[in-house]
Amino acid sequence: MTGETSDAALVAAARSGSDAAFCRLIDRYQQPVRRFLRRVCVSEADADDIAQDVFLSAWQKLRTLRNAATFKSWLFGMAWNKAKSAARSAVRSRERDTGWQAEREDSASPAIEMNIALQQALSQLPSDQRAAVALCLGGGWTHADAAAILDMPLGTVKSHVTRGRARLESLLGVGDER
Amino acid sequence: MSAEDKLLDFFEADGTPAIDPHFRITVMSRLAARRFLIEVGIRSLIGLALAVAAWLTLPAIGRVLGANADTLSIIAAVLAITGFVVVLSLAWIRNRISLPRLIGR
Repeated sequence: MTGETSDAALVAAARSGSDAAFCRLIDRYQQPVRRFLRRVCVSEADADDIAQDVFLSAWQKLRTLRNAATFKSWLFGMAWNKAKSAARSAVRSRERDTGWQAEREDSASPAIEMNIALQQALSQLPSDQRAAVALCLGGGWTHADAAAILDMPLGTVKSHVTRGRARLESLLGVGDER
Repeated sequence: MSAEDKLLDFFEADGTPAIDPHFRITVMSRLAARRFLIEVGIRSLIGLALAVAAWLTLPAIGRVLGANADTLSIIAAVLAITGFVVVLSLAWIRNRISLPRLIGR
């Protein structure tokens, strides 16, 4: 992080009206937020739409953020809440996308097939478990940070990650290779 | 490849670019549009408040000046409409000019 402006400084600048600072925050966190939402939402298009909404909400609510240094976890918390709201009305599109992915499997390369299989396996996890797995296994967050973001007890997150990992491995049939 | 490696590969190789300029531009364009609507809303409310205040004080001003109230109301209406158009135009121009600055780095 040497030489990089801190989140707190960028948040302060964005609060005082600097759009360039907010652009830098977008550039800094667009990939992890989109990646997390793609794991949670299954449909990539929906995930990217939600990611845009997350940054728009962040801009609007920037003044309500008490500790600017916690911008990243605040952003992920917002992403999780928006994903949960979107999930309630996304059952039909999820079925459509799963069908499309099943058709696509025929012409996919082995690497892509594995990715599709993992994505489908992930989509079979309960949403809380999926989010915990996406944050801790996919995003490198600690269990404690993930618990704060998802607003869940630490023990629940640990349990979700353990079960989620086991379930993924079981669904993929690779659990015995270790 | 172990199960652990497969999971790690899966989470890392999802094709999400580190920085996607299109994503940033889309967000900032939507942000500019939202800001524009907020500004127009605020200015419209201010304009409406001024128009109501002018309408309420018109009879008193007419008595003080001794002029015909109808003539004054026409003048006030023209001024109010002109002011409203100016406010809207300024907001629009500001939005158009600031957009490149918004999406620039």
